[in-house]
Amino acid sequence: MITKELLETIIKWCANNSFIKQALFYGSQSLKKMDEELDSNSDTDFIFIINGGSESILFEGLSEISKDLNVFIHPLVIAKSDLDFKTKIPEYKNALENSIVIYNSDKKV
Amino acid sequence: MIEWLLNFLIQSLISLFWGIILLLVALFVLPEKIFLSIVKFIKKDLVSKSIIINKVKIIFDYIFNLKGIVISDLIGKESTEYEKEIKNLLEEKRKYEGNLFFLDLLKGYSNMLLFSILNVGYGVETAFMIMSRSLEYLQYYSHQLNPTKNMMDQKERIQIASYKLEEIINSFEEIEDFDDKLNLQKIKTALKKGTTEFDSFIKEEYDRTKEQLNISNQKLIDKLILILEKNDY
Repeated sequence: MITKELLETIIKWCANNSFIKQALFYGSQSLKKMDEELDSNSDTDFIFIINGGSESILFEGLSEISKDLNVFIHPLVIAKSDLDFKTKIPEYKNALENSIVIYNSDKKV
Repeated sequence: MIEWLLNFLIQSLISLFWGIILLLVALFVLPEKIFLSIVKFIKKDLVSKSIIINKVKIIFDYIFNLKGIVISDLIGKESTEYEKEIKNLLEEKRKYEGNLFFLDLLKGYSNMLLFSILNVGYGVETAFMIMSRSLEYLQYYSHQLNPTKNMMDQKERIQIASYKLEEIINSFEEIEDFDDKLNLQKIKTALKKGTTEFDSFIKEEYDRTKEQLNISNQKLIDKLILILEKNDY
């Protein structure tokens, strides 16, 4: 199943990249259960909270995963230094609140 | 000599004690303004620091913590005009914030497109499929942008940029032989050029919006400080 496989791939990939602080799954696809297949015509939305300056490594990795699993990942990338500023903006706050944390570098999810 | 020193010390302590008692009585009995001017006379820093901290807290709560502080509660009668100015500035700030979010989504999307086309090496058919689907998203996000005072035509400019990308994709419809190496090279070069240009355009728009949001926040802070100072808050 693409949901489970995708999430596992993302989590594994995050664990191998120390610049990623948190990964969250959001949007309509995140409401699907692990045993439900993703709609291949829909984008898969993730939020990544990362250390600044590592965007290109992130996008390179995600585009590889996208290609391997044939799912177009659509990331919202937030630099850790911008997190305080952005969580005070309702749209970001709402997106973060309605997401599921799938990876946290500080603790195992 | 020792007896004199001891006596002086005891008298000082007694005076200090009565001083504190009188200050506490004044705190409860006197109006706040008179009390603050007395404290200011004794120790100027103490008053100015507490007032500044209080002002900063109000401003921070109002602008960033989204607490619904009513301006008229702070300044009384002349509130309507101030409220209007603050309301306009807040509305402008909210537009920039909303736009920043959607530009952030667009930035993520265009970055993914760029990396997918440049580095991963999709086949032409898959690249077309991704691009066509992406155009719908790009148009959707650009429709969410609100016109702001300093960036009135931002939505239109982004729409034009995504139409340009669409034109590139549409131009390939005339190509019949996708297996021809020359045609393939032509398509790849055009896709790379189109996505690179679109990506840097979106990044510029994002940076400009972030800058305008900072300016807007600063204007709000300045205005609120002015109001609080004018009203001796």
